[in-house]
Amino acid sequence: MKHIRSIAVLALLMLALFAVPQMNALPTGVGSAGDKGCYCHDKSASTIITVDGLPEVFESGSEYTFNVSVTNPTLVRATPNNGNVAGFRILISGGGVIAHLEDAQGNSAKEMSGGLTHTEELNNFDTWTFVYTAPADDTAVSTITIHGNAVNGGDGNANDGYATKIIDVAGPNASAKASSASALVILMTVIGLAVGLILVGVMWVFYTRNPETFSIGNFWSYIKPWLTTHDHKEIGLLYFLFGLFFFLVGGLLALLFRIQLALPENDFLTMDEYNSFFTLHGTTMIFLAAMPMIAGFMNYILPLQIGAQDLAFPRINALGFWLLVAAAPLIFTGVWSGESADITWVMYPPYSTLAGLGTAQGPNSGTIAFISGIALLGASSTLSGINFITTAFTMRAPGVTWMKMPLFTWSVLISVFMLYVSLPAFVIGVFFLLFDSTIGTVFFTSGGDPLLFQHLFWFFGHPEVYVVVVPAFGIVSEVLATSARRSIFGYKSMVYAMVGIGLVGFIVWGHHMLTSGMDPYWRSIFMLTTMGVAIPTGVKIFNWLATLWGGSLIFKTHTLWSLGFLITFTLGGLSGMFFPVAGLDTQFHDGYFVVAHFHYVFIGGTVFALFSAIYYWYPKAMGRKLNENLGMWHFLIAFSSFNGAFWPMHAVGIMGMPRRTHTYAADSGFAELNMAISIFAMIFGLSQLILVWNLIHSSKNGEKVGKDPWGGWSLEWATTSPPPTPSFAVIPTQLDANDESHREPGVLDKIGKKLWAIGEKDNEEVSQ
Amino acid sequence: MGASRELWPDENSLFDVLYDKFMFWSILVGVFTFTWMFIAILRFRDGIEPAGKEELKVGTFPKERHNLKLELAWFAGPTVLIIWVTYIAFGSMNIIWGAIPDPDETFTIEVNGVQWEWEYRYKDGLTWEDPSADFDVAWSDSLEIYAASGVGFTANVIQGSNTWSLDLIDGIITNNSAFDDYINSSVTITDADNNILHTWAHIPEGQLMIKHFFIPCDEDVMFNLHSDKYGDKNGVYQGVQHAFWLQEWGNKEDLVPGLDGGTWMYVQPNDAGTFPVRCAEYCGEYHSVMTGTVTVVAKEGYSCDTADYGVVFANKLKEA
Repeated sequence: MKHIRSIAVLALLMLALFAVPQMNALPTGVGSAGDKGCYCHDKSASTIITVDGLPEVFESGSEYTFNVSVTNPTLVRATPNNGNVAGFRILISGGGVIAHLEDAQGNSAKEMSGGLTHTEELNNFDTWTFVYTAPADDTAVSTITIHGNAVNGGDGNANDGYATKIIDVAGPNASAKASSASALVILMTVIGLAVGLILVGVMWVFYTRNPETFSIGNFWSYIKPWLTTHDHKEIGLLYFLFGLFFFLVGGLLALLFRIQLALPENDFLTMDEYNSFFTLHGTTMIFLAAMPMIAGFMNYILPLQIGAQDLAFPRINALGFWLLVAAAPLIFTGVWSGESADITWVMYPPYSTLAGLGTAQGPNSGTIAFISGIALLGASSTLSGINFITTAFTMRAPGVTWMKMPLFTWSVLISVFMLYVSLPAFVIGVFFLLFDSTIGTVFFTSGGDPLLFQHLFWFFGHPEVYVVVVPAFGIVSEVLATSARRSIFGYKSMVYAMVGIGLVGFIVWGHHMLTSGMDPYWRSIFMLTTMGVAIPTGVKIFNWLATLWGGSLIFKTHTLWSLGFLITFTLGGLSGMFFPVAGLDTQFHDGYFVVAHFHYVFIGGTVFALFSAIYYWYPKAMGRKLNENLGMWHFLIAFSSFNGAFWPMHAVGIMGMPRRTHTYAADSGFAELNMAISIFAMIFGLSQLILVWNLIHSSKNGEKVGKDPWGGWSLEWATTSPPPTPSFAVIPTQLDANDESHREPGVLDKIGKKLWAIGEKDNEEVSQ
Repeated sequence: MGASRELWPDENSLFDVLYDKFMFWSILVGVFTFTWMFIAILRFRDGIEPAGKEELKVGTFPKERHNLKLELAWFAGPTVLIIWVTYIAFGSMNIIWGAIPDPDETFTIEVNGVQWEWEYRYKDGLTWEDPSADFDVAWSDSLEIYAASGVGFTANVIQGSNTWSLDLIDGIITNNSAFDDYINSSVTITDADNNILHTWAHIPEGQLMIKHFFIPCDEDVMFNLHSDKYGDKNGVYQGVQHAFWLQEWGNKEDLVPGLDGGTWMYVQPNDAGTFPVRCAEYCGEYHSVMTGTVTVVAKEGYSCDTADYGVVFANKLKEA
């Protein structure tokens, strides 16, 4: 009963979100916003569109004069009325041309976005005359779409009535042709099929393990524990697989629009498709791929490293994951209806609140669903934040004091702190967007301040990018130290550097807004602080290099990925230093140089570190190593093709190619580099299949391992591979190789002791 | 990369001067870091250095490695470099956003961005002519066109909605129409094959041009940027964001909807030529084709080749 009530409430909420607000009339004609009908007005079954003069079968090249009338006998004219009677939008596809015949007063229709529409003068009539010129190809079928809207002549769009008439005029040799599905629908079908196939695959694996005892009931009892688990290890795996799936989806989106960009003036994707694809690509990669994959490792490894049995709030942890799963279809849903969100991942208003269809005429359902999905993501991340912070403060095993925690744990704590503090601004901004789109508030639009959203967004947006990269720092510290068989160099300064990045990361957000119209005084402040964030980052890079110095480096795949990280993240960081400079940012902002920079730090930073973490911790989770040969190939191909794809973007950005651009002119000079970028991007995308295959294949055939295959020191290597549930039967005690017996406990140790004492009483209750 | 440098911003622009400086420091830091890294990887790998250095024991926090002097060094070193680089950056900030010239003393154009077109309204008139010794156009109380030599040239004259063409032979042709400062006028001299040999034009103050426009060289050209300023403001739709990007001078600024005074940017054209105008803030479906061109021309009687205009960075830095 409780469930039915919640489902009903949820359904009502979703229905409310899909309501489209009223907008005002357009006597001056409508552009591509009207391609699907005059739906800012009411639809009316009583509006009749009469077409008189079009043949059923055309003769090639002939001209036909025809009339279109739009009348609604039930319409009541408003008093007083403004003289407007009816409007139209006429589109033709499949061949042939339609032109408007000037009326007796000399008024002509106007052409807007590929269709004919009324003008203010023509809006005062309800009949217009056109000339249809049949195509030369007599196998063609001209499809003429007429949207007609009869208005009552009053203010606003209510009480008007629109209808649509579609007429096919076939050539003498035409045969019926099926229309092709839109690329978006095909994409979503592919994703739906993939999910279905995965489900079937899981079922098949379950069957092959025990063919005799297979039954749907047994399968459900196999799946149900996964759906209802609150063990941090299983939730970690779920997060990781979810993230990996969407990493491939986001990558597929990117490959599709790289095909579009490979050639100048290409039309592989329509403008709307392209705009929705890059929007989805950005949002998917950050929120549905990178963050969940990081969350996967955070969930799995952090409790192991601090010697805890689970997180502080295991069921809230599960809730956080399932909220993410609920957000994903909301974000993608617009694609099904053909009205997907094309507002970019930053969702700047006014376009995002008035947006969706070309001209700013009202948010479409896909955009509203997209924004709602983002809000849900904020909820998921907030819950995770509470969980990890509490766990780190209260559940560390004896010996795991603040300055004796592994660096991965430190990086997770700092990352989650940043996320938790920055999220409120973001969620507020997103809710204001939703309100502007649905209930007519004016936070950012129609007299509100568009820059307010930018501040709210980037106050979150900048710490967000550190949220995804600081765990990468933690991973690389662990991997490099273990691979060099030495302890990390400068542990304390590593911690201070990460804390420094975490703090400074909150005062640099304006560098995303240096050309936004923001007060120049603030631009100068943000330039200063942005320059400053390079210093702790540099300290970390030099500490890593010093870690390698004097070590004994083994070259496993995880090592290679961390070394690759050092190269590409340094390059990304150096290119980042160009942006705080006013005279450079005015050229680079919103161009491909930015795209190059953030892909170097996102892929070359976060993703490469994640790959490193996969090869490093897979044996711990699965009890088997990943295949080193496949790993080597994965690294070589992916690392080189990544650089081949993204390095030229620096050049093409300086040459003047803007971001978010569907195509570019043939004489712009961008063509050669774009073709090269697209080819390398394809190779990079395909190379990820090597990893996917390795993950699947090694789960059954990988070399078995014991507790500590790589020789790491932290507590996760003290348990079995995979660890039991609960992760520690007996809470371990971490020892310390530094002779500290003569040292007075410092401030941090005293605080830690107090906090540990708080945790000690609650610990028994947690394990129930 | 050599050929693509033609597409880069002008060598006299602020961008070009700064890019070289920052590239220099980036290469220095990059080479330093990667050299250190490759030496470390090659020299300290398993098999070269004996493995007896292992100091990691499971469940034991390892002996801390640190060296206060080294760590301070690579904290202090980057800090000094960052301070220097910030100093350079501040100079540039002052030029671009700090010391904006007075619009009354510069050539000013109001740019209005709509979905998806650029509209330019001239706040100052511009009379320009191709610098050439072979032809000269002078138009005051009457129109005088001078052709150095040769037959077969035609002058196509447009004044507002009037057009007429004159055949040019050696010497001066005079036509009695008076020049009107308020009317958009042009004289285009073509040869027998309709190739354009010489152009003279007058763009009056208040003229509206769409997509393509002209600006003079060797002076500060100011842009006042508005989003959908003349639109049908029904209280709801007030335009969307765009950004006006002039590639040749590496400068852009957003157009903010609802901001009555608009935003400002200025450029300092040096060479004559036609350069791209692009939109650099996503504004909807046709964002990628919201493009145009800007043609830099010499004012009547001048040539763009005589002076070097633009940010000569060192001098500006001293003034700022």
